[in-house]
Amino acid sequence: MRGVLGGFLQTLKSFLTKPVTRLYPYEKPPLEARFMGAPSLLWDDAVDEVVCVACNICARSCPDDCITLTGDKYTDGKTNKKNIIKDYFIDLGRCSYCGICVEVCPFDANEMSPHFELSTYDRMTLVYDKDQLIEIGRGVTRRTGKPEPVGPLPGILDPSTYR
Amino acid sequence: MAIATSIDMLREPVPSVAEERNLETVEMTINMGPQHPSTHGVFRMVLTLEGERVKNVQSHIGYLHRGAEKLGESGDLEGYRKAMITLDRTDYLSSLLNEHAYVMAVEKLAGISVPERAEYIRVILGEITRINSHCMFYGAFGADAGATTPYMYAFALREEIQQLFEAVGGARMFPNYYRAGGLREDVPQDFVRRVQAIVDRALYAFDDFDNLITANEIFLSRTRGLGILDQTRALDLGVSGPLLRATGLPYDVRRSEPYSIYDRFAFDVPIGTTGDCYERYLIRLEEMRQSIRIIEQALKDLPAGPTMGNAPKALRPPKGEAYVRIENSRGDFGVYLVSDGKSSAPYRVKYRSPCFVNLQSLNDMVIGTYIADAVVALGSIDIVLGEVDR
Ligand code: SF4
Ligand code: SF4
Repeated sequence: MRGVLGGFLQTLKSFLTKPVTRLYPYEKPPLEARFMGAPSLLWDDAVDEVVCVACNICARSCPDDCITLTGDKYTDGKTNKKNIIKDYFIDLGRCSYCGICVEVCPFDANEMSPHFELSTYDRMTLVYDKDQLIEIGRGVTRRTGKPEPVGPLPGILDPSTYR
Repeated sequence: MAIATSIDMLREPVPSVAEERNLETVEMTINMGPQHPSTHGVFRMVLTLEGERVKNVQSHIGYLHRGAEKLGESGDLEGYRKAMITLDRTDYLSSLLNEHAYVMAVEKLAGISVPERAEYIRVILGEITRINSHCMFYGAFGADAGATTPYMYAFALREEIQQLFEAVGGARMFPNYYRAGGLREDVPQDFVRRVQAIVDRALYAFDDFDNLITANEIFLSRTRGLGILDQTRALDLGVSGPLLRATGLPYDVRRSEPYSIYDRFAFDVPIGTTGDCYERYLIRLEEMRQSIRIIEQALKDLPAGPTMGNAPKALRPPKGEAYVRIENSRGDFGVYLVSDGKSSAPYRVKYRSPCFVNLQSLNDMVIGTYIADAVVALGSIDIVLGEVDR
């Protein structure tokens, strides 16, 4: 009987502390600086075009073979790249958000964006094309090597909420 | 049925319906799973019952087979990194512990050394992963024994741990953070402070866990004396992890064959005496506390410095083979790698998964018990079907 009562007391104690539940779709979780959402393509604002040079290294390194890209000869002459992407598709339905494509890119042309809400009724809408990938990459910068800002402790780790 | 007309008639044993109508008990076969919430994934048990008692059990596995080992052998670029992606997803509850085993195997194969700081961070994150995984066991085991509340407590702590993984590796479940030769990048600046906060919070949560069900009479009567596995039988089956330690053998790879820097830390290996479900539960709770001890020591000594050794950018290890084993949250986990010396992907990948081996003890535990207890016994093995089927 004592053990059962102990359980009830514990429940009562938790009842009197602050709830830790977040009502997700209405209340967004705080995203960490390193959070890896969908991979995205970066835009070079200085010359107003994509950074990517269609070298295909990311597509060959992807463990899920979800990147497909084709390149074109680059003739604009604004930068000294030889090729530029014509098409670039990532099947986010197959992507495992591992970040290998970002890690191997020798030209810093892509980065994991904070975009992660992908619920859809049609699987084909998960195949993102070049424009969509550039769109979700807006405002994202290459993070690698940069230290993150130090913020307050998130969630229930603040002792005042559980003591 | 006869109606009692006198006090004497009441004293006579009343024949049951079965006896009165001359009915016999017949065996019944019940199919449990693959889509059953308490089979911990997609696992199918075909139970032969005699009344409520289990006479025989036949397990069917393979529903979650994704060919993780074979996928690890593919790829023309970055093959050694690709293999880790699929490894992470086999035992999804102890992903960082398994990553540790894998990178150690690659390091052994290619002869790469690891900086001190990276080793310490691997130990800290590994032990946090162990706590994370045992929390899941706590919640699921409580649910198997008939209480859904433990899940809430376990997941409140798990949420914070996964938030830490997100801050460190970018993903909550599969951070893909270790690399042969060190870590992908250094931990965030406030790492020590956040781990310390998790340690404080976890110690508080463990007391809550204990208060909630450890002494609960209903929980005790559901788990004590159930699913007993004796030591010789456990050794015959090759069982490892908390299951083996519950039989009284203090076998822990971290202690008996220290890998990484585990020989520098003081911690106890909790053991049981009878080897029943309740002891397995107690051992896992105690292991969480011991993990906290290791984390505290590692945090105190955490050195500064680089987190990546002199690993070559394109890995192409010389011809050879390597086997490394670690203690993951379920037992003795091993990675076997063969390199042919030419390609940038392993020639052969083999995982020795503790879940697959531990699951074999199911028949010994379940036969002769009630069907409702079969669920508890299965829960006490703490399987992850992704790792059983690979
Ligand atoms: S994140 Fe991983 S799976 Fe997704 S596209 Fe990049 S390499 Fe492929
Ligand atoms: S994203 Fe990077 S690796 Fe991929 S094709 Fe473009 S430049 Fe090459």
